[in-house]
Amino acid sequence: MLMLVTQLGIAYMDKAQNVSVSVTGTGSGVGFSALTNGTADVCASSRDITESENLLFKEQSVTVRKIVIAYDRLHILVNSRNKVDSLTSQQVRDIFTGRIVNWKEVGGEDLPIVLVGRDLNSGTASYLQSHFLRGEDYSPMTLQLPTSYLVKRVIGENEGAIGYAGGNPKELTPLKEVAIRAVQLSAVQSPPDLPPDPLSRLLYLFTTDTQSPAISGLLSFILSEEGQTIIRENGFVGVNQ
Amino acid sequence: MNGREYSEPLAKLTFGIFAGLVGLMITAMLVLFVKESLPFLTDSAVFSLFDKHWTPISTQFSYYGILPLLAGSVLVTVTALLIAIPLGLMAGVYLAEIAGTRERELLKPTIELIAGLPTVLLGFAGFVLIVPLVKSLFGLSIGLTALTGAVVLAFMVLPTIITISDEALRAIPSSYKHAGLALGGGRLQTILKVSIPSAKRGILAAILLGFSRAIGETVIVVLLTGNSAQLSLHPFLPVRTITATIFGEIGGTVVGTTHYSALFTMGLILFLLALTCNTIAYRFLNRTVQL
Repeated sequence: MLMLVTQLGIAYMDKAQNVSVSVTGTGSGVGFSALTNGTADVCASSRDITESENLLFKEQSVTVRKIVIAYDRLHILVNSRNKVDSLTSQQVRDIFTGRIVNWKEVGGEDLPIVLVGRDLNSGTASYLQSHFLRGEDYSPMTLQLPTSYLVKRVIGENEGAIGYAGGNPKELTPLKEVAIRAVQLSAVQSPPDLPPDPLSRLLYLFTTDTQSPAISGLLSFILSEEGQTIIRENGFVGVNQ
Repeated sequence: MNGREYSEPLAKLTFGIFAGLVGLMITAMLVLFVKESLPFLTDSAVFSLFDKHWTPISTQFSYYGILPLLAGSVLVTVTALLIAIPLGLMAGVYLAEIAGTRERELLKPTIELIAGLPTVLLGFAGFVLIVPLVKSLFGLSIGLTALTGAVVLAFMVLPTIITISDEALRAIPSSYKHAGLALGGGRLQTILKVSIPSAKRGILAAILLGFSRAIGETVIVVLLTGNSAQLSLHPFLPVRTITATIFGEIGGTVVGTTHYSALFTMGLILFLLALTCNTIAYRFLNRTVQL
């Protein structure tokens, strides 16, 4: 998501004169802290605001505005040399929580599973934990990397690796593609009252400032056709379709 | 009355204020860390400090066990020193005892240049060069290990160890060496039996300063050690250090929570560890100079 908002920020600066946008990462949690401390005007997040974060804003009597800017699908990623094509949701859960530790247990080669994840600042990590792992903890063996760039890179370089990331699964950076692919999830049960796919999620912007023209300009730019095109180009689904 | 009478006390006062300011900053930092750690240290969660799990935002039970992180920090640092001490000491001996003046003038600034390199560059170079090397050399399933971080950390602390041990060796009065040679000892024998033992305090100081630099380093270990908080002392496994934990979590914690305060406690422990090492090291160094 950092890549996406950086591109949106640059595009908006090109369009609107005299506005400077600076984007910094990494991790949704960092964004909410920065918004609370007043060091940021807008916080981009790949998860919804938590209760404790909301409480902090209430204590300061600040209203937070939430804007959904895109739909995203998380991908469970493996190295392209991995012979396992599909996993059930339960198998993915068992892998990430450390109950399955070798690929041969899910029909693959005799190869130890290397768990690759994000650190605790990551919205993606906490979204996956609450929506997909049903609140269970990640295995302590999970590597915790600071960006999804590194997650994808490490999976691309290690045959036994499995990890997760949002956005376009193939795209590492605009510069290089990596040897990774998304795993098909088989037998995903989707009850009618829940979103059809536990790996689908929303991407948000949060802001405490609704007055400044620069910020409202940025928000309407992102929701405009031009902004949404950038969102689609990055492998996400736009909200105005 | 001339200007000098005023300018001297004025200069003294100005420099005194700035010197005092530095001391004040360190004290203020210590106070801040103690203050922010207190909520955790007085909370019942403190009893999990010596647990072997670190799961601060678990939905089941939050453990704040420092053991896996401390083990990670110590393992990476000690391994780095095991690599850096022999290399650094040999290089220091070469510079102080063997190298000619021109060689020394060329080598010394080059070595000190490494000390000035931003550590993120070392980390990135390590990610591209050392990670795949460690993986293929030892046939591991992942190249992000304690050893990988240690190799690059060793490179980072080498200049500290070389420079300080070189200076300690050169501070030995030449009469010691002459005596060694006059007693019929060879050059190597004199180095091993006279020079190194006489400079041992300086060399110990070099090692301690290297230790405190390595244990406090963050970027290199975040990029290279994989950061999985498993309790292990195996150099071929990924580990998570205290610094990497603070780096990876402080930005996302809500101010005032137990997790936030626990991270400050980690910081306090690191702070005291580095302070102790540095104090002992400088004490050693001062005595060496008095020789």
